[in-house]
Amino acid sequence: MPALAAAIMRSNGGDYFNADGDVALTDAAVLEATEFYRDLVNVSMRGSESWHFDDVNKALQFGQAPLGITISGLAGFLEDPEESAAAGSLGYAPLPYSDQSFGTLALWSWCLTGDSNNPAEAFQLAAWLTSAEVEKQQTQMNGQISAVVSLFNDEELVADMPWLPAVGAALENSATQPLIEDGPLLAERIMEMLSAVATGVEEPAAALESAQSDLAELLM
Amino acid sequence: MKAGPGQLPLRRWLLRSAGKNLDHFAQDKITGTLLIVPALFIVFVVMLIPLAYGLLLSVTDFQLGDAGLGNFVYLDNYIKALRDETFFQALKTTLIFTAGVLAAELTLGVLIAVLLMRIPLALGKVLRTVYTIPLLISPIIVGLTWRYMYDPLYGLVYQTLDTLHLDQHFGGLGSVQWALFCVMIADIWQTTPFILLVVTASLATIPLYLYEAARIDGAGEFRIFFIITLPMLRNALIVLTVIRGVDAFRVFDIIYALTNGGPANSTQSLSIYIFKRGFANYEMSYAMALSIITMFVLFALFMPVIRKTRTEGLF
Repeated sequence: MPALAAAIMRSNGGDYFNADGDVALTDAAVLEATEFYRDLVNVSMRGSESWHFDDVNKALQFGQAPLGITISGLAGFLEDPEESAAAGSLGYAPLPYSDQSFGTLALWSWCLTGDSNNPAEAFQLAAWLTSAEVEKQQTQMNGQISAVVSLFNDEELVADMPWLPAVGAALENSATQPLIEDGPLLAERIMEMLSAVATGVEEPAAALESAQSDLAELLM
Repeated sequence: MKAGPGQLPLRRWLLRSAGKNLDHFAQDKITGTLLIVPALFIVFVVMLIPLAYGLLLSVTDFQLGDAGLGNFVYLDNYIKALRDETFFQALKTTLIFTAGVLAAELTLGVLIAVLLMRIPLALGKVLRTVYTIPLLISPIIVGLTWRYMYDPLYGLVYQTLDTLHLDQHFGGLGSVQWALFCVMIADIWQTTPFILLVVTASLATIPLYLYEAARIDGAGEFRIFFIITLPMLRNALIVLTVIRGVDAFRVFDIIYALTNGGPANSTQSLSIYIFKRGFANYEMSYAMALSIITMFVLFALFMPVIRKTRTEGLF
C-alpha cells in the first residue's frame, strides 16, 4: 500500500525526493519509516499483507479486526447498519505520527482546458460545484468528501458521518503522491519494494537501496 | 447451391470469373485459391497487420498517450529486455507455472477420466457434468472465488486446514513461498475438466477387445492402464499438451484476480508483467518488445511438439 507507506514516510520527515529533486529513498528517515511499516505488517492480522483497503473495511465491518487503516472514501460502509456489524461502535482518528501529522491526498479536480471557448463560465461552474453549500449537498447525497475545511466539522454532516473530523485533521498537513510523468513507474517500484519488505524477501535497507538505484536510473 | 450473378452454381460462377478453357486440374486449383481468399484476408487483417504493428511499435519509444508513433530506437527495447531481471523472473515464474499446471492437469484429467469410465454409466454422466462446471466459469470469477477461499479469516481453505491443525504451516496468498502454489491450485481446479472432457472422448475410441484380450492374458488393471490406455491416449495427450501448454504460458486473468503478481513479484507471469509495463507504466513500445520475445519463447517451447503432431497428421 504505497499510500499508507507514503503517509508513514512523510510523517517521519522523509520523502521520495530531496530538495534537489533526486530520489531520496536511502535517507535515514525513510529507512526508519520502512522498518516501522515492516513492523506494522508483522503484527497485523494473518493474511492482511495482501489486503486492499476494501479488505480492511470488510474485516472492520464484520468485527474481525479491532483496528484498521482504511481510506476515507470507504468509511461510509463502516457506519451503514445494514452492511456493518460495527456501525455506531467505531472511533476514528488520523494516523499516529512520529515527527509530524501527514495524510496522503487523493482527489478529483475540476479543470478548465486552455482553449476553452467559455473560460469564465466554466470557472463559475467549477466554483459553484466546489462551493461549501453544493459540496455539503453532495456529501449528504452520496457521502463524498470535499476539500472544504468548514465541512469536516459541520455538525449536521458529522452526526451522520462521524469520521469527518478525523479526515479533516489528517488532511491539515497532506500531499498527493508525486505528480510526475513517471508517477506510475515510481508507484510500481515502490509497491514492489514494500511487498518485498512486508513478506520478508528483503530487509528494508537492502530493498530501499535497490529501489533507489532502480528509480535513479528509471527517472533520469 | 446457387450463388453469384445470374444464379449460377458457385463453382461455375467462380470458374467463369477466373477464365474459361482451363483443364480440370487448373480449374480446381483456381477454385481452391479463390475459396481461401476470404480466410487469407481475415488472417491478414486480424493477425498479420496487428503483428506488424506490434513489431513496428517495439522498435520505437512510443508511450501510451503519445500522439505519434514515437521515435525509432532500433533494438533498444530488446536490449533493455535482456538486461531486465524482473522480466527473467517473470519468465521463470511462467515456466514453473506452465510445467506445474500442465503436469498436474494431465495427470488428474487422465486419472479422473479413467475412473469415471469404471463406475456405473448414469453416475459417471452426473459426475462428469459436475466436474465440468468450473470450465464454464470466467477465470476472473474463479480468481475472485479462490481469493476468498484463501482468505485467512473467512476462507474455506484456512478453515479446513485449521480443523487439521495445519493452518500455521500454510502461508496462503500472502506468502512468497506459497502464493504461486495457491494460484496453480486454482488454475488446476478450473482447467482439469477440459482435459477430462477430451480424454473421455478419446477413451471412448479405444477398442474394447484390446482390454478383453489383455485381461484374458492375465494383465492387471495397472498394467492395462500403462500398456493399453496411455499409449492409445498418446495423440490426445500431445494435442492437449500443446493447447493447454500455450494457454498456461499466457496465463493472465486468474493471477490478476488472485494476486496481481504479488507478493514481491512471486506470482508475476510474463503476461502480468507485460500488462503492467504497457498499461500501468505506459511503456507500450517496451511492452510490445516483451510480447514479441514471449511469442518467440512460445515458438521455441511448443513448435517442436506442433511440428511432430503435423508430421503425424494430428493437426
